Amino acid sequence: MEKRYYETLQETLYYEKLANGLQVYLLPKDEYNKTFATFSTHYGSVDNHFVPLESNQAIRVPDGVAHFLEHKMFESPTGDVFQDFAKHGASANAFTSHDVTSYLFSCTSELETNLGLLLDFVQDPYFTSENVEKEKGIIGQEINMYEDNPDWRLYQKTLEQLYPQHPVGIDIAGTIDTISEITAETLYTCYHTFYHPNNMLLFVIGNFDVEQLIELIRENQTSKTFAEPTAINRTVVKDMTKPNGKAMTLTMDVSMPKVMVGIKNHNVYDLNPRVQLKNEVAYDFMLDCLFGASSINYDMLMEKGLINDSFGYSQTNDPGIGYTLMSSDTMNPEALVEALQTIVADFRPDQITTELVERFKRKNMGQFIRSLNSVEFIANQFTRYAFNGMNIFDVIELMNEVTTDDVVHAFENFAQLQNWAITYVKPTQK
Amino acid sequence: MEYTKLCIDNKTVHVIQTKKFKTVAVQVRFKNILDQATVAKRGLLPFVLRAGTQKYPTSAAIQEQLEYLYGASFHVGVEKKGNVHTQYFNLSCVNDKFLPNNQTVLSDLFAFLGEVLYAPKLHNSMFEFTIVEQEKRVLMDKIRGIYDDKLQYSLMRLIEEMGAGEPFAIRAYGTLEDVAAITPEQLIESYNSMVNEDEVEIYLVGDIDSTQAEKLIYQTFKKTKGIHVEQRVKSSKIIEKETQIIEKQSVTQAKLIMGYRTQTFFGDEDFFSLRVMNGILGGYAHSKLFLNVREKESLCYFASSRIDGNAGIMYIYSGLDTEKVEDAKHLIIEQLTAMQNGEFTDTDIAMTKLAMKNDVLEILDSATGMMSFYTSINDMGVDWNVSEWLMAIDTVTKEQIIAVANKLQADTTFILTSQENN
Repeated sequence: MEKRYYETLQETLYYEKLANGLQVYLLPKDEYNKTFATFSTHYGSVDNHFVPLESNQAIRVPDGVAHFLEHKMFESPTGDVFQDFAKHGASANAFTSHDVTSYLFSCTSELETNLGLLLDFVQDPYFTSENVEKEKGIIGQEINMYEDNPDWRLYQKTLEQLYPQHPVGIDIAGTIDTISEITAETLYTCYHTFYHPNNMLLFVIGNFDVEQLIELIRENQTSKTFAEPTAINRTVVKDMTKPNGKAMTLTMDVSMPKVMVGIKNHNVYDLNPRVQLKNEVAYDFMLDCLFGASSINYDMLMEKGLINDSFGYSQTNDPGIGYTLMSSDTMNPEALVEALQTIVADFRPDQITTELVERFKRKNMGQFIRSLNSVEFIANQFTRYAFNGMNIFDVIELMNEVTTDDVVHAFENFAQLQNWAITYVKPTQK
Repeated sequence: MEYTKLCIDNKTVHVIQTKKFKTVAVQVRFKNILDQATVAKRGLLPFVLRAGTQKYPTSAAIQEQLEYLYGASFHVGVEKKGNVHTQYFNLSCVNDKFLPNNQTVLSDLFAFLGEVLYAPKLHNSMFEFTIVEQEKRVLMDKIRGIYDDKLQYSLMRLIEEMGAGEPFAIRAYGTLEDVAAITPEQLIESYNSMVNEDEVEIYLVGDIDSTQAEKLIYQTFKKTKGIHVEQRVKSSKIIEKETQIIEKQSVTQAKLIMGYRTQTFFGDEDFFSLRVMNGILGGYAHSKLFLNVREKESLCYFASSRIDGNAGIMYIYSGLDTEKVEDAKHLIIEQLTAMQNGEFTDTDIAMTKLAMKNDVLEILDSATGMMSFYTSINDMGVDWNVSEWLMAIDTVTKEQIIAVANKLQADTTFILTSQENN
């Protein structure tokens, strides 16, 4: 095992790549009661067009397959996997994002048994036409639940406008129509292509003995046979379209209008992972400067009654996908969009001072260290970044390196209004 | 982890000394009797205090100071429990030892808290009208926003209907009308009452120097005398007739919420039996509701049950196809009847107890979790440590579970469904 010590964070991370290609990360936290483990594949809703294993023809699978597959992994010939974990005092769960599917559990006892269960159930698919049909009712209700969630609809519609040609613009769960096309065979095809250990990462964090645990993992993995690791042939889409400030309106039964502004970032192709991560940090600082709760702009929007507590912003800077989202509930959504555009148009890069950047360094560093109290945060974020070739623990060092120039550079891209798309949710007329 | 309960100048101080976290967390609570006439004012006050102090005159200046304190988080608000209304002020910041140079986090945190609580920005001894109006608008938007989360809204409506006239139906932030009517004069009165008449409780979690902490607490809260608020009145209402309320909105999915009286309260001898009963019925992915309503019949994505030990109620909630609400209702009642008839296995009990013990140990892996654990211990009026809590779960028997299940009385059912559905 390779051992890495992060001095500022006072954390030790152990790493090993097993013969079958599986990446294993162990992070002991002796003071904690619990251990949290995630077993993840670098496969999510965007991987809908690919060459299946042992084939040479690319196929397009129905929307929502990765998420459907995640649900069905919990069924085994002997019954329900949740029960198996429950018998050993662990609670299990899973989630599917645009590019990752994770299976996880947490427990405060019987770690070795539970970890074995996790590795075994994810590596033992069991799909029948009967159990696939049955799941359509459950997922159908999950889709309907989101259908009534205005914040989700706003987010989904904004991504759709920013990425009309990239699958990131498609809802992770698909629709009731698209999931009706899914069969056991579709699930097996996706499973065999994307669930090879070579495409997967195991992260265990909590209270355990490192040597004992890695031994158990090695043994578990060598006892199983896998095909030779091969590179996965995914169809990569570059969606360079510009949304040009277009707007869409959804009508829902809500108490007041909502608006989301999405701003596409095109500077996300073929970057060195470290540069990519540094850009992300610079973007955060830039957004804090412009719209943070300590900014004059935030004060002004509050005073004018254009935003309230629900105002927020976030950004994503993944390889091939980059965007900033700003949203708020507001009585006057059009005026808010206009105000945001004016703020950006009037902003001068020299307002990004060294002093300001220093303060945001303190803020973002502190918040990052604070978030490390959560073992779930560490495992999930580490995995997500690792699949993109980045190390989340480098973020502290990169925050120190970011200069006012980097922040100004982030702003210049952000300021191009042709990269903006707007989505409104408006109340149903009664 | 080491827990110490102190009394400093008439304030109850809970110190949880632990090296587990990279942060120091402080929570200050001002408690008083829950009263419809005061909730809105008490609910608005923490936000107005957070909007400006003498030293940091605007909310931007306050925010700047928090950023300077390495992105300290500061959350304020109110909550209610039984007949007690609590204003809380939560601060959390990175511990000095993870920061460059020598920092003085603990004293900075208390200096900041003292400023917000005892040096508000006033004009002619009055809160500024514009600030009060702005915070009123934000709070009213927040109250309105509940409508947009259909599950939360349905739960709120159930509680409102079920608890009409009882303390648990009073909303922690009051109603839109209550908030709209608040004047700066009323708010100053509410502030004086909070500072002079409330019970004060303080929680501290982290790797801290407790001698220093005690001194800081003494200095910071000198102005508040601190009294004791009598807690908890049990309102066991006997239900003679079930009520069903149907509301229609333009929604895709229906929400079904079924409310029951448990006749069992926090601190009662059979409270842990009720918790185990709830766990087997609908607390987990191995529970009856999940297995039968979701997995077997594919009727829903979620079906769970939850108890409120202060109000003495249990509610079951699910999201369904509008056509399937009645089917689900029957299926849910069947599961409950099975509990009352003792139709559950020793494995069901064992799995639930394991899960509940696991939950407690996991809660203790977060600072806010530790605070809520010791709050529960104190509210129950016991002096337990963690293993005594685990023991209370373990000693529950099948007979006791059946007994609490049979105390349940159906009260009110709330259904939110679509306009098209009749």
